[in-house]
Amino acid sequence: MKRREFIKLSAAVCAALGAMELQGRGLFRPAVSLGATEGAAQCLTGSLGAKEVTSVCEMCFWRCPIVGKIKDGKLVKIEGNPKSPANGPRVCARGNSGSQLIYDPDRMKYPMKRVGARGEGKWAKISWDEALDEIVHNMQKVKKEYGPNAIAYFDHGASAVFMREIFKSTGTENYTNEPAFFQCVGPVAIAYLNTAGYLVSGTRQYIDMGNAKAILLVGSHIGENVHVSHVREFIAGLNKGAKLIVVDPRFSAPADKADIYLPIRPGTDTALLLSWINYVIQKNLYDNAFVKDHCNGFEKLRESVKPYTIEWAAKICDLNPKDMKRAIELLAKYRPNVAIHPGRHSTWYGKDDVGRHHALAILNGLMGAVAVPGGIYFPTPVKPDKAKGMELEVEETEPPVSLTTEYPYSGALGTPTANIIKATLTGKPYPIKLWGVNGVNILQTIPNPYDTMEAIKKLDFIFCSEILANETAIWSDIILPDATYLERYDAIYAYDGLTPYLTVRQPVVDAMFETKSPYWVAHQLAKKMNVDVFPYEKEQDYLNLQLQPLSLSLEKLNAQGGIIAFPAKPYRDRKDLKLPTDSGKYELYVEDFAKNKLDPLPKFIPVTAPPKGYMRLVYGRVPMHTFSRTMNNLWLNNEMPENELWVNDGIAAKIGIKDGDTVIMENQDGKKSNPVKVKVTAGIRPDAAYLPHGFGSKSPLLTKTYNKGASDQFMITRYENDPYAGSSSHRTSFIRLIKDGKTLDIPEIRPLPPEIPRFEIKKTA
Amino acid sequence: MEAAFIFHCLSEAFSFPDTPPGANNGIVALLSQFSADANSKKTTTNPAINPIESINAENLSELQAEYTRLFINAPHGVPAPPYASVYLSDNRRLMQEGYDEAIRFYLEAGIEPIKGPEPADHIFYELEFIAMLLDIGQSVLLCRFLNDHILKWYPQFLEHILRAGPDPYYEAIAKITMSSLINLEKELCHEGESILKNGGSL
Repeated sequence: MKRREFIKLSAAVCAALGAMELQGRGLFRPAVSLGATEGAAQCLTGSLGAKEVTSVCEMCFWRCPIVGKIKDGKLVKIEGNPKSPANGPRVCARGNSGSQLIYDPDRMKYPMKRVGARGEGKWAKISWDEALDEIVHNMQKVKKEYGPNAIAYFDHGASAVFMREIFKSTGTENYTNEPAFFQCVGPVAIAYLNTAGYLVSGTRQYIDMGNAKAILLVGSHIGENVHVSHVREFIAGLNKGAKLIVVDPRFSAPADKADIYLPIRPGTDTALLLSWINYVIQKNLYDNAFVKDHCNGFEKLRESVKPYTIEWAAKICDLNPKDMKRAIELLAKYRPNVAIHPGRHSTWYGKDDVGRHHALAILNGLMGAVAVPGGIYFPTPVKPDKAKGMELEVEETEPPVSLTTEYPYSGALGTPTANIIKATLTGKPYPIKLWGVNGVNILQTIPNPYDTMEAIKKLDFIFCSEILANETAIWSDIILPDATYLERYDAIYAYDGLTPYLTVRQPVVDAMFETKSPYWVAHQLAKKMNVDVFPYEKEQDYLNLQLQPLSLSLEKLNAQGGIIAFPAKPYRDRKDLKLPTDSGKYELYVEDFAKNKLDPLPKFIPVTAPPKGYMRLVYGRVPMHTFSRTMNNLWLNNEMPENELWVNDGIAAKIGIKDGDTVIMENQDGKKSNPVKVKVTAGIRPDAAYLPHGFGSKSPLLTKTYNKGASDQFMITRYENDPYAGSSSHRTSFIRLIKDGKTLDIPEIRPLPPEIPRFEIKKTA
Repeated sequence: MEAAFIFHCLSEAFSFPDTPPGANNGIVALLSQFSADANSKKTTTNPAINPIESINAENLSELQAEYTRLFINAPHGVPAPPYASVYLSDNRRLMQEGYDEAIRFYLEAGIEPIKGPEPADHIFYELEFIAMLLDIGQSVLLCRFLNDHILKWYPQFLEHILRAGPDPYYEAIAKITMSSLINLEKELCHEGESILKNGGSL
């Protein structure tokens, strides 16, 4: 045999010279680099003696600075970067479990092409060239046949940024429609941008809980939602004696620490806030000097909130008026050093969402809690330079028919996801025929996934870029395997909060399989499509350029522990205070809302109550999971493999359900859930049920989490869009329960006041 | 066929079929031998396995989809992840103890895997490693590799493949690999005369 002769020969040569490559189909070579863990380190157990590489976590989007510990080319442990002023050596359960993401056998390993029916999950591995050619071909074909707007991009997170430029280059107005905005921070972002003049809450919340004397949380379940430095600031504040007021229909983790807990009727938060605003004005409990010197629109506000008395709100909100007064008096007592948390995920009820956060912002202004210890504070910009050529310069021209026209505040953040899906489904106002999906599981994120699945069926082409094959991947024609955050460069991360720092994401280990970094993918697409963007061959080139003005390079940054801290400048003297609004003042009354025929001041907009026999479905996060992204992670799955449905104990007794029983949820549209265990508790109101988000995966490609627990998202089929940006509401669906095949109507324990209409289920013939 | 070449061909057969395996004379020879053996035994009541049929050029895309389903990504999980680590580690993850074990054997032989897209405990690395050890006559190390490593996981891997109702080609390759490993171990790792040790064939 020729080959055998060859091997023999080469082996002999190798043995003789000790340098020539052994053949072995090119799989092996003489040992030189492995076993690089030197001397004593080899004898040490665990992560002792490991090589350390600093980077940035992305198990959630708080993005803590981390250190990866490497032994023999393998990631063995993740810790917080001890030099990080935000989290120090700490990471949360999810941060710790990144090592289980990278070595998950369910990972997408190669570019894949669908070979079976769409949704069937039959694939064949293909080359990167073939996969990218297929994408380019389909983009060009769809653009030619239907025009550029027939192309749409759903994007989220650091992995999606670069490809956005590729979509932009096609000329589509739908080059971005971030579910993270339209399903999450949209309303709160709009409210604070137009009152305080800056993004008090987007990815970050600039709220100084650590130095507050009183903290107000409306629905925010800090501690269940773990963002390490945010939780630490919250706990620091409590440790220093801050009083805590929690408003939540559910007895959440922070409710357990509250001085005053207000178990509010879901959908009525704005009524409570309006009554508090009225109360502090009437009782002169507001910061007179701040309002006089730094606020616009106080008189209009005073007039508009007059009808909203505590007694009125008590009925609407189903709260004890004494507790409501006690709470607002407590808050006012410590003004201006009060942390009125702006909230983050705010797409709750649709029409009322921006108003609710506008009301929070107004209350914040009345307390004078602006740029003072304990209040909302100013970010301290840490600005690395921009490298040239990383963003495509295109002239923004709104097409004659646009998916954004009805929503004046959607523009900056793209097209409302709901409009993309509707246009894809109906072909109106124009057809959409191609979707790219990057870093987001659209089926477990956007309300009414049944519509989304129908829309996908109408597409000519859909591709996604994914680490694990979630529901969206199942429906895709091409899947691009994404390198995890631990295997790639992407960007410099500058934190502008109370502990400013600059760090960089860099590969802790080599990318597994043929997974590629998002920049590499976008760079290849740009080349194939002749798009004049991304002039740098590798990420290090633009990162070094960006670091230059700070007299830094990747090498220098790494020599300093991968992170540099800066002093913060969060507060201002009152005499120097200038808000970044057009007027320089805090806008209680938002002129710009009025110009757009929207409410310039928040008002009470009733949120329809559950129909008879149903309760409202609310949802939230758990400390060990992020969205629907982490349920397949070995360690996190072990901590919490499935979710439980919280049902009020009074309701449970009446309908004969016991703790640990298994039920099926049925929503107002007759959609049924996976079986889910019930947690019977007094810690939830009788008119609501609570389900931790992200479970009940419908992707059989995720072996650990497929069909485990129930999906809240697949119960959310009814939604409304906020009239400002068109974000989609999530707390507007209702459920009843099915146990042992028997449908159980939910009795009404807390009577509904006449001001709140009831949702009516349309009877089908 | 010589032992080293057999394992080399099996290593190729367990790699993604970029080209039709029918164009690979070594693989075709292995399959012919396997079919002949199966027919001569006539023990099976199952319909005859015709692995040769599924490896021609016309069936390439089917075979690629089948390889993807069995070994890369598939609904309900890949039925047979082709990595030692998955079978030899408590947590069934990649790059764990089973991987470390493979690397230690390679280093002991004075070689290391060239970083490729696959972790070096992929079955095709380990089969090629056997071919190389046979070539350079490292039978002591090879016996240890067989008994202390690959034979500890390959039977489970085989079971997983068979349970997944594989294409006849992969069924044949998986079975040929099993019998080749067992025969090699018998020949090489027990006292007495061995034809292999004297340069013979399996």
